[in-house]
Amino acid sequence: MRKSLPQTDLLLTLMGAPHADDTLTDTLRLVQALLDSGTRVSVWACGYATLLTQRALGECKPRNPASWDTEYPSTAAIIATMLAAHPEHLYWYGCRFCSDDRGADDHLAEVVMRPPARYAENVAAAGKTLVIGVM
Amino acid sequence: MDPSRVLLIETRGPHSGPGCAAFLADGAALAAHGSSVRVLLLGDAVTGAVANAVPEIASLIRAGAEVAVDDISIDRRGMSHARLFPGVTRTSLEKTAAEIVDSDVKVVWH
Repeated sequence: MRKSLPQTDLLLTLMGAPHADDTLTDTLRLVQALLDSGTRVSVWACGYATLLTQRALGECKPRNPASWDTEYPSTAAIIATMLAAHPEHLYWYGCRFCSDDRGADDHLAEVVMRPPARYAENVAAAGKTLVIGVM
Repeated sequence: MDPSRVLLIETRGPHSGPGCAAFLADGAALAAHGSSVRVLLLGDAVTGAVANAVPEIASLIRAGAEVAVDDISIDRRGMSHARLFPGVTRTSLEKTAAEIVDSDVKVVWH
């Protein structure tokens, strides 16, 4: 029997190239604000946003020549930290098709990859859905 | 029937094309037809709130909509002391979070 999805208050469907603008930063700011207020949040990463949770990204970004001793966490590390801090309130899903299409096949263990045909189930498991970005 | 409550989140700046102005014009039309409209300018969209960079902001305010800019987006662009269009206020994405979850509010992120 298939395991049912956890109910959340809000599903954020995150699309688009993660580093093209402020979308990812603003989305993560929003997720953190929602979590701080006790809101249960699920994120469905689609398109290039599926690249955010690859384990190959490691803990830190490559060194910044302008600030050699500063460590900047990778998106995978940030998301992993948020998931660990809010295990009952934050869930992260990835579109398997979009991920496979981009050769990203090794994600954080906490990230659940799902086929696009199951997206409607994620929508049904959330009180509200907000689409962010364009694929 | 109560007029609908709408939260429009614009993230594109006026220099990225006509999408920003068109989106805000849609908000002004909704407000003019009785919807309760709030607009959050986020990311590059905050540049549209300076002076009269996007005339549709004046249309929004005239139609009764509330228009606010995200404070972190303003600060990150070195615009902390920029003179905003009259009627535009500063807020935060954090303060807007509760409204985004509110089931009575229709939210569009552009």
